[in-house]
Amino acid sequence: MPETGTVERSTLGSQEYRGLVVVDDEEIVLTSLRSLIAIATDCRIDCYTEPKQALESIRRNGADLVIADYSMPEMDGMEFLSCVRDFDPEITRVLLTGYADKDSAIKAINQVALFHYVEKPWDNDQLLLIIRNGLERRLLLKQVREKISRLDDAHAEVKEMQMKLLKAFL
Amino acid sequence: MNSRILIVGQPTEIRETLRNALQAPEWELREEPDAQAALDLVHEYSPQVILAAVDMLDVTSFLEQLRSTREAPVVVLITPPGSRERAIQELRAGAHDYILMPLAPEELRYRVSCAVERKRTLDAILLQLTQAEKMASLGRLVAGVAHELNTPIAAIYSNSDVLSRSVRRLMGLVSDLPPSAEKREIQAVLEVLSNTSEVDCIACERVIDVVRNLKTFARLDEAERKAVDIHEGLDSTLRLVECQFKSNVHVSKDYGELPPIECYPNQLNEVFMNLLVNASEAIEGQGIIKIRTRREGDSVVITIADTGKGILAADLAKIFDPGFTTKGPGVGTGLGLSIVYKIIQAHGGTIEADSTMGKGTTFTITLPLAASQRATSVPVPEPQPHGG
Ligand SMILES: Nc1ncnc2c1ncn2[C@@H]1O[C@H](COP(=O)(O)OP(=O)(O)O)[C@@H](O)[C@H]1O
Ligand SMILES: [Mg+2]
Repeated sequence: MPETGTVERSTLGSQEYRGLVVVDDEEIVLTSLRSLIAIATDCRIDCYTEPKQALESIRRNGADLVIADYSMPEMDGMEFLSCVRDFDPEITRVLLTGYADKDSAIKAINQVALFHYVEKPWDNDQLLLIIRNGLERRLLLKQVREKISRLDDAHAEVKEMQMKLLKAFL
Repeated sequence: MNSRILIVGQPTEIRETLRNALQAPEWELREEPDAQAALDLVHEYSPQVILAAVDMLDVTSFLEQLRSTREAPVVVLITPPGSRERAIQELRAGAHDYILMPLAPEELRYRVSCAVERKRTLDAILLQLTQAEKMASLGRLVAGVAHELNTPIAAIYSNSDVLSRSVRRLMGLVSDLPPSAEKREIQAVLEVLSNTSEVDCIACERVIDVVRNLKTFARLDEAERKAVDIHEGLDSTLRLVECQFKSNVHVSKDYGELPPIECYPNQLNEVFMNLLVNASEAIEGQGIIKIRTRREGDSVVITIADTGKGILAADLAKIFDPGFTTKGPGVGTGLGLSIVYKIIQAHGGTIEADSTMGKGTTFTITLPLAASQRATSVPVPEPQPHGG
């Protein structure tokens, strides 16, 4: 039986570090997600109950996709995700909440350019799909950025050649 | 229903006049000459109306004491000629009306029936207020419970799925082993695990369903208020639930001309959904669900009628209570109609049920066309734990 929602490392560029960071003040949620990621994907996952520690880790080691609980005592999920965005907008951001509240979902999507909004209790297949698509987005953004910079380089090279040519003829 | 009337006052001739004037089957009379004894009688007899002859020493204190009783009957003073001034003072102290002697029986009867009517209205308002209050505090309680249950059930639900995945993985690995007694034993154990986790998943889904209902009940979700075509909502909800209907349920629509209605559309859809599902569940053999909409003055009236088994007269008063269900554990949650009630109330409307055993049930919703004051203020949810 094929496992739906499996996140294959190969689809994500195997040379890369593919890391998920999850923040929730409830340990039981972290444990559940850790087990899910371990059995159904080959992603790395780091879990934190403290948003501040999670931010530190992201600043140090980077991350590809971040999942944050909405309600946490010290810093709420929105604030946390907006810090993540400030640090690196290419990191895919997912919010977990207790209520399917369309208004705050829309607000969140606009405010922190959220990739997805997941209601607790979540469905594992759905969550895995979101993670896969979110990582793909991250990879595409990266590839686009690299292509642009290569184009820039090429462009600069062409310019330099032009200059050299000009100089040779002048 | 009979109206209970208590006549209070010393002079026997006044009591007699009153008694004679009020001889009618709809009025049940009791008499008590002494004011103090009358106050005690109020608890036992719980009259709707008290006719008090103003020969009592202290009408003001009598009225005051009456007001603090749970029954709080409406008081009409029987006032001697020439004491209009005093009667008016007593009106300020809380009497509903006064009648000057000599008594004209026609007038007396008219005034008493007015007083009875007033008492009915007051009782109805009080009932509505207590109901609304009960609903509000229950909402807070439910929100708390739903919030507390949400995260643990989320974890269990996810874990049971992880367990299924792990067992599947192990089964795959074991099946590659060469046949042996150990292999068979391992496979048997994995089979047990697999069945267990499957049951866990299904059990979780049921709990999640209940928690979701509780969340909706507590919060009424906050999508925007806008003017919409109610028929669209009815039709889309119908499409959603129709696939659950048994083939013996036939739906007929009778839509009137309706202007767009200011409302929270998804909440109204929730109302329609609950009523339609209940209706279909009430139909045992062949049956019809009739949906009818009409504009009536400044309101819209929506009726959802079924030809199902009906509701016992004794249950009719309880169906909107949260948790009331006749569907048995694991089938009904008894929350549907209490959610319906809250939503309609928040829209400034009313909902009534009318039922005949064996014939069917009709729910009538009346919604104001214009946005009412209530509807704009009620559904704003109080700050509540979010997520978690
Ligand atoms: N259309 C109907 N016909 C007969 N009984 C009904 C109908 N609608 C509601 N009821 C009664 O009201 C009860 C409460 O309904 P509801 O609040 O929706 O809870 P539930 O459907 O979970 O029992 C039902 O259990 C049923 O006894
Ligand atoms: Mg129901």
